[in-house]
Parts: sequence; structure tokens; C-alpha cells
Amino acid sequence: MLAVQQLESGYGESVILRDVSLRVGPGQVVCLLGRNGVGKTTLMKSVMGVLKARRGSISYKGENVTKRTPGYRAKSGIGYVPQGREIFAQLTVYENLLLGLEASKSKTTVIPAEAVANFPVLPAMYARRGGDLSGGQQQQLAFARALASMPEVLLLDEPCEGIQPSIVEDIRDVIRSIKAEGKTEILLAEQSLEFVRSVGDYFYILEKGSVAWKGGLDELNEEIVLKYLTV
Amino acid sequence: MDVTILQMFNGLSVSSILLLIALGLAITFGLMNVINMAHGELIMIGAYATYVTQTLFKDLFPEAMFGWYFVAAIPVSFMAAFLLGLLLEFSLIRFLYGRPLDSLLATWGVALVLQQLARTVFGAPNVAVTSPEWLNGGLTVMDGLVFPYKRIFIIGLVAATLFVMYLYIYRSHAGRRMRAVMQNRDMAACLGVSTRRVDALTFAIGSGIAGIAGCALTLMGPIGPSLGTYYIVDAFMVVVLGGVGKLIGTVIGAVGIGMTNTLFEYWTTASLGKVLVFLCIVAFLQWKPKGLVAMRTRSLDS
Repeated sequence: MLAVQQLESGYGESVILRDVSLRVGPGQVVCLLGRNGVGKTTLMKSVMGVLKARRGSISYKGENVTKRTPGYRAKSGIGYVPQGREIFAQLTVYENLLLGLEASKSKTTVIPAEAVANFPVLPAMYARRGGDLSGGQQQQLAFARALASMPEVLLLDEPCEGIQPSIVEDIRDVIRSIKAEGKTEILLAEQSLEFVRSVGDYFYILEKGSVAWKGGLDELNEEIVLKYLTV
Repeated sequence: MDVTILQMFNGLSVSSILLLIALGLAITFGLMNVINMAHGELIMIGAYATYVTQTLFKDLFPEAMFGWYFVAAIPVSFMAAFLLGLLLEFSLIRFLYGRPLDSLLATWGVALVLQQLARTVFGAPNVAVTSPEWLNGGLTVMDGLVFPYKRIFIIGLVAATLFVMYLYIYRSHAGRRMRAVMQNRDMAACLGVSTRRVDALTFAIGSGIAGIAGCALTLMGPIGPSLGTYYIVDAFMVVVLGGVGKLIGTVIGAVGIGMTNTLFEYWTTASLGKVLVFLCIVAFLQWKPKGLVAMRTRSLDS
């Protein structure tokens, strides 16, 4: 259960998000839509704690985490796949995955099989440096790294950006299987309408840093798309 | 033949000392990007810690035990500098991350304070540390060619320190966290790594290694409050030439400087040799400003 209330956030002097409220229920896949520059990534960063909230609150499982560090949020069960993947380029693929275990509750040093099960290319590349991987492979690694700690909420920031179609399909399958299991809730920021329609339960559309529209899959009709999403 | 071997050995010996004083800096400056002008004073602290250990052994233990003080002095020097580094990081350095100019001035101030502290506690004149008996003398390789045990010991100590550092940085959990934080601080934090703890520990370890260098320097001659100032330039030279961020660069930098220094001094004179080495370094850095082994990471680029 992730809830954001009246959040205001931004960089330095400039305010990006104003009065944003949203909630992600158990087992839900909630999608964040909007044109470029409306504040999707800013919202993701604020939820993770990379950006400090100016006003409003972020609560997770009933606990107010607004003032908590990203590390605390990670350890309490929030997994993050950032935009641009943010792989540790000088570390090996295996080391990148081991770092994903830092937030896990058990003191294990073994990468859970579930984390890499959906990305069969990764185990074959364990010894290679993260920076040597292609964009798509890095995206899969970032995904597996986030799954390694068995998070209860997953923040996915444009996981399909600049990725070849077959890997987009893989990622779609992973999100669907996570959803089918029902243990993990997902907040997904994405540009591709087709993609979010195929996995999402509930939708928020941001415009100029505020929630302009929200609703279920059947309400997300052509008129809404034309109004808020067509460039 | 004799002369060549001797020069090679001397070069290796100079390299090992350069490497030892630069290894700690390779961590605090190379990995953390903190321009730590107090690095020389951490070396000085290590040297005085050895002096204190020696005095304690003289007073407290029987004569026969005295030879072993040096074995105890290595971890003692490490711990003394480690703890001071921890204190320094907590009270000053952590406010100066990403502000190289400020950290340069602040740590220089710390260096002056530490020098004065040493003067107050131990007095301004140099103090002598008696080398243990088993390090006196040398290994006779052939007639007229003797390798002093002290020099061999320092080479061994550097190799051991380097090996342990390698294991720590590249093979341990803590080392992995450290590399992750130095490469991408925000992402490491998002994965649950405690960046504060990693910063403090990393700086303290770099300081501790400076302490070991100080311990080794007591074998080379008397020590004084301004010991560190003689070595700080060399230490920075090695790290900058080697290229920041990678251990292997520091090793190559130290061996490169040590070897060329010895060769030039043999061909010319001691002072002219030093000038030639500095000229070579300046020329080299004009050609390759990032040093011998350049590594590009997000944290260094930004």
C-alpha cells in the first residue's frame, strides 16, 4: 500500500510537482502517463526519496516515510528501476545483482532464482562488466537487481524506453507474471499507451506537474488520449 | 652487471616507498575525490604511533621481546591513523564532499594543527626509532652486492598491503558497496546501501594505510612533526600520474616514478635527476591529463 498525498517536489528553486495525490493498492499495477516533462520521473524519484518532498506526504504500509532516506525505503520493501537504468558500469553483472540484495530482509548472499528466472540472458553474462552490456540487457539487469530484494512495491520508470521489441515483450511478461502472483504492487511510468493498456489496472495522467485525469482501463478512451497524451 | 642489479633494486625500493605513501591517497583522493592535504600528517601519526609502541615495549616488556615491537607497531599505526581518519571524516570531511577547493584548504589547516600537536606532545626535534635487530644487516647476493633487509621488508610490506587492499576492494562485500557508492551514489542509496557508513569507513581505511606507511618510514631514518610534508607532493604525484580511481594505476605510477628517478639519478646527479623526473611527469600529463590508467565514471565526470 503506497500512498502519496498532496506532494510538492522539484529541483533546486523550481517546483515540478504540485499537489499530486495517488495510491497504489495491493497487487495493483498503477500506471503514470503524460507527455515529456510533466513530472513522471520527478514523482518516481520523490517516492523513492532521491528527491526530498517540499510538502505533502508519502506513506507506505501505513508508515509515513516522507522524511526517510532512500536506503530506509528500499529496506522496507520499495524496489526501484530508474530511468536510464543506472547500472554500476565498472562492476560485473553478478556484483550488480548482489547489490540488489542489500535491501533484502534476509541476510542471504544468494540471488533468488525468481529474480533472474525471467531474464535467461543474465546468468550467461555474470562475469561481464555492467557497462559493457547493451541498453536492453542493462534494462533487464536493472529489473533483476530490483527484484533480487523481493520488493513489495516496484517503481518502474520507463522500463521500455529505447528497448528493442522482443525485450519489451519480455518485460511485459515479467510485469504480468508479477501481477498474477499478486504479492507485489507496481507503479509504472511509461510513454507507450499500448504497453500500459496491456498491463495496467488504474491510470493517472499528469499534466504540468499535477494529476489531470485518473481512472480505470475502460475509462481511458480516445477522447482522454487525444486531450492529454497526443503530442 | 652488479651495478645494473643494484640500480634495479634501488629503483624497486624507491618505488615501494612511493607506493606505500600513495596507496592511502589512492583511496581518499583517487576513489573519494577528497583532496586530502593532511595525508602526510596521517603518515606522521603512524610514524609516531610506531615510536610510542617502541617506547612502551622498552618500558614494559623484557629485553628479549623488544625485537617484536615492530610487528605490533604495524597494526597499532594502522589503528591510530584509522581512528583519526574516522574522526576527521565525521567532524569535517563529510561536509566537504564535492567541494574540492574547500576540502583542500580545510585539510591543509588540519595538517598544520596536527603538526603543531605533534610538536607539543613529542617536541620539535626529531626522534629516533630503533629498528629491531632482525631488520639490521642485509642479504648478500654476490660479492659487494648487499640488499638491506629493511628495504626488502618494505617491499614485502607494500606487496602485502596491496594484496589485502585488493581483496578488500574487489573481493569483499564491503568493498563492493564501496565501489558502488563511489560510482553512483544515488543508485547505491536506492538499493539500501548506507552511503554515510561507506564514506566514513572508506576515508578511515585510506587514513589507516597512510599510518602503515608512517610505520615503515621509521625504518628509513628519524621522524619529526614535519615528516608528512616531505612526502605529500610525491604521494599526489603518484596518484595523479597513475590515474585516479584504479589501484593498478597507482602501482604503475609508483613504479614508473621510482624507476625513472633512480635511473636519472644514476646517469646525472641527485638533484638534476629529480628535476628530469618532474619534467617527464609534467610532459606526460600534458599528453594524457587523466593519467596512465584512466577510468571514466559518472561520479568523476559530473
